[in-house]
Amino acid sequence: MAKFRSWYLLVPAVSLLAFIDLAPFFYGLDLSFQRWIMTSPNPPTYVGFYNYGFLVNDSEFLGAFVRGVTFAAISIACQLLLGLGTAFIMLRKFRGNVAFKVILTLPLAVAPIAVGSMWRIMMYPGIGPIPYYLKHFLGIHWDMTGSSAIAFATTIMMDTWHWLPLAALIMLSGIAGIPQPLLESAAIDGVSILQKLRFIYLPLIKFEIIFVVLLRGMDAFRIFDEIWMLTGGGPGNTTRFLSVSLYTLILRGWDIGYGAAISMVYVYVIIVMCWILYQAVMRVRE
Amino acid sequence: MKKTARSIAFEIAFYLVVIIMATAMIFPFIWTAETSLKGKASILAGTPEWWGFRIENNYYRPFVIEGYFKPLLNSVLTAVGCVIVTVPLAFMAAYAFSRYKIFGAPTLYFWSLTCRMGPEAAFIIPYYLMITKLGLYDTAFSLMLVYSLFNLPLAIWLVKSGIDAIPRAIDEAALVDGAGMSDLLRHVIVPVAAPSLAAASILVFIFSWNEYLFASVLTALRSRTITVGLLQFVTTVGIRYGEMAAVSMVALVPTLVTVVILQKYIISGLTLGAVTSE
Amino acid sequence: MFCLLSEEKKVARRQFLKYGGAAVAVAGVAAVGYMAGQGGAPAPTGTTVTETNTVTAGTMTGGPQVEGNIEDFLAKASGPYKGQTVRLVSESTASGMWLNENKRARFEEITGIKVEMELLGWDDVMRKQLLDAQQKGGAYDLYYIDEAEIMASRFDNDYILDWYMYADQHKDLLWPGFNVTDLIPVKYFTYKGMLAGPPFEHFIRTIVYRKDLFEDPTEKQNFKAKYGWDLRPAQTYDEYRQIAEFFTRPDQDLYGHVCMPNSMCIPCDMYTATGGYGIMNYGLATLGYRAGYKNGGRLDSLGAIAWLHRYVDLLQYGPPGLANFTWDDEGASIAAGRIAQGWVFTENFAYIQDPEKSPKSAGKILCTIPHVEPKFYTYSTPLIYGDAGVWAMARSGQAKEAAFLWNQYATCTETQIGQMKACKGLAPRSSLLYGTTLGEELDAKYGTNVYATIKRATREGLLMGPFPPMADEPVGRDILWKHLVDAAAKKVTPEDALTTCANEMDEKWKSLGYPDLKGY
Repeated sequence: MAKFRSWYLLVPAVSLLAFIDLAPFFYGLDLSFQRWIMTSPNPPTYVGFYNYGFLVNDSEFLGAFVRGVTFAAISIACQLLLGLGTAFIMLRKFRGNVAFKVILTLPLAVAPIAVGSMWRIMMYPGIGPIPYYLKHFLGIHWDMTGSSAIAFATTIMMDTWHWLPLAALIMLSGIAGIPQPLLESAAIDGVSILQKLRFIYLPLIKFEIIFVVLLRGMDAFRIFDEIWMLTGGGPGNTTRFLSVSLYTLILRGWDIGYGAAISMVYVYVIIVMCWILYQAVMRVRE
Repeated sequence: MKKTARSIAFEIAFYLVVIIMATAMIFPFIWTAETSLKGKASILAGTPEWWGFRIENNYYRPFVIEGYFKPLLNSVLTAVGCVIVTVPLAFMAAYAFSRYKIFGAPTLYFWSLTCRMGPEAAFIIPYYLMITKLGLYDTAFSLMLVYSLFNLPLAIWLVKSGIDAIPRAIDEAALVDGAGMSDLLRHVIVPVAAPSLAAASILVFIFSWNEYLFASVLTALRSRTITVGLLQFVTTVGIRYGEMAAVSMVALVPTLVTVVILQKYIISGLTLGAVTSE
Repeated sequence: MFCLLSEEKKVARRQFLKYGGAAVAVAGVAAVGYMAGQGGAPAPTGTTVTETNTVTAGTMTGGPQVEGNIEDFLAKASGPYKGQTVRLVSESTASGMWLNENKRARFEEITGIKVEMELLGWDDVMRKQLLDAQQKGGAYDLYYIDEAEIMASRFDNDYILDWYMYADQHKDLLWPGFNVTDLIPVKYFTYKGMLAGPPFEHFIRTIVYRKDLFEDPTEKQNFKAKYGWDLRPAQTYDEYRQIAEFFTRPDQDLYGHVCMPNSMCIPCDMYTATGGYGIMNYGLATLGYRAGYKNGGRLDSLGAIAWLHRYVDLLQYGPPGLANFTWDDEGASIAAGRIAQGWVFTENFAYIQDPEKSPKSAGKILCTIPHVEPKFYTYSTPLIYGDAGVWAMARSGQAKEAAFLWNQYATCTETQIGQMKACKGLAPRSSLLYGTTLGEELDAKYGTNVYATIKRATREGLLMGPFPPMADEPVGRDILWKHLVDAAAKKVTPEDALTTCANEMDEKWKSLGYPDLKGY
């Protein structure tokens, strides 16, 4: 019967996903209850909630979390605003329109690790042109290896450069979907630009905006490659966002149990945050 | 239109903004391309050199002497293999999600999305242990398996919205005509859902090509991909920026070409979920 | 979903539950299976603290005379192992890369054994090794080890083999002319009488300075006018500081100091520039396991605090971005000609002194031993940090005999001669250092004094080995770098940094069970 067959169709995909996702998850859960430092000759021992108790007080963990969320929030906001502006620019058919669109799409294609290395080559003090010109023409000392704020700002700039095109293109498709008569009547009514923005555009592309936030949110929290290549965690620990901090803990400090506990917490919190966004997306879709 | 001073100023400002944006977007590419042609001395010069530097063939050493062709091929193999593994499974699952009322569908759906949400570093140790136990260390297949973690949900998402757009009447007509399930899927649905399948394939290809962390943990010399190869230029005798830039440029080419040419499909595939309702 | 299900749908639901449940159960069983499959690490052997050894001059002669050379021997001995592959993962150091490009093919020619060298960054190397060893995956036959505590950890975990024992058991695979004690760093890699392997690289950390700047008459005049003594390499901290101040000219892109305060490298920096303060081993006392001064250690002693003050103070004379410099960046900035005086590992001389690769620095860099308060200087004062690299045989390796042969080939005298000529700053064998004029020739050729300095360092017993050989050392290092980085960033004062650090470390050692032998 056709109705039965549906389960057959689902089984391969779901079982592969279960294998790839649930097995590590349960293993990680099990690890999080152990105390296991891989370089030490002491064997792993079960310690109950010791790791979880530790991480509540761990400033590094909380710091990484706060930094990661701040980074994601600022980054997504930048991408939204600039993306909206870019979408409006692309809406207009000007000379070189197509070329502009092509150029705009280029950053999307770059592998995250290549993004990190390209920006490193560009921004590293002493090697990169940007700090050099900033110093010579504007007297700004742009040292991303010395100053925390500048390193943070550089990572946000890099992320925006990488993903702005996506935001712009998605919002462009949303704006393009706004029915013409609406805009025409607005023009006839002599509505100002700001009012047009507030009352026509934003409500009608609400879905696209939240969609971009969800899409980027899922990825911005777990960013790793670009940051690792660009700053390696930043001066001190400024740019150690969630994934970077976790990587350093697990693969340098080799505290596997603690790392697993932190992973559980991160995954849980991120899922909750994304679930909220997801619900918003679903709700707006009606 | 009346050419008032205000509108001329507006035009100029507009084009200025466009030019600035375009430059900002393309500048890193240009600089990397330049760096890939420079020798070490001029890269570390302290004053950026735009022209007049001695051109050094940074492409020769990595690709010819050090055999960077292998990682490049491995990248292709892994990415294509991933598409082959992921898309058919995603297609079947998407069809099931789309056409049938499945118990716990929204939860299942969201769960598959959550696979993308966890920080990758959390999965490294479990994956390493699983893959070594299976004896798959340093094979392309291990990467194909592991990448399905975040590629499958994305592919299911895309293809499902594509299938949603197909009216059920088509299904029923085919069934009435006496088609079995596999016929229905293969000959009827696939052609119609081709755009979203294409979008899914492209995105899976790009994400697999670009991935770094799992590739670096799960591969050794044999199946190393080019993104991992990029990090090999960070040596104790200095970061070989020139060669790193050269390999970056080459690694960029497939994804660049794909994205630029097929950008329309990608975006429409992503936003198709928006337009159609469940 | 739950409302009004038809009979069909109920059946369908049951089917789904069956299959879905099966999938989840399979996944769960698989997960449990993996967890169960993880045996605990082998039972810990007791770790004791061994003092780091200072290195005295090695043997002066070139070892026993034998018939035939190593290549003939290898060709014969490798008979049963032809066609095997030796897989190793190593840091991409100058010597590693040189061996990869020059000696690997020859080895394959002679013996028919293929060697696959994966050259990566240090982090990745350690990660791959540890994961492979822990899993007994057998993916690698040789592990790169460059620090004593890592070696201790590997031995304690039973991940690597003892070279002495292996050589004893496989006398037929050991070339009679192979002299392992001739290798200077053997002292570093001996632990409880076991040897990790024959070291293939050895380099030291020295101060370097620009010959052309120091000999320039105008500079000398200006310097004398400003500070009142003749410009020469610094012998005390104050002299170093004055020279650094004099040569820091940002507008000329010239700086008077460079080191490696990056969070990963800063514990290593702690060993250097400490001349006269005797702070090693994280201030751990030789008896008892505590770092804090009140517990018998030296980490927060007045000397250590003075050291950290001076270290942080010097950072202002470095190039921009110094706060994040690693050992690579140090070398790179010297090669770019931006440093008048600073610290560097001599392995970087592979490219710093190469006129093709670094035209701005080739022929202009001279070494000197670190500054130390003259009243503290004696022979055998540990002043100079010496680092080395060895390829240790993995217990879970699958081509052990082949790996053993490769190790010999990579460290035999002929190979080392070629390596010295190519890499310019490496010198593992004493016989080559003292028994030949190779060092002098290379120095003369490149206009430097690296080998003269290395000879002096070994002869006067100034070398200190790497970090304390205890398996849990990374734990201590993890605590140390955080506080050092904070102090370097001027977020806390050196006193606070070191005191807090010592307290944390003591608690950590205590929690790990290391005894405090106060009162003994």
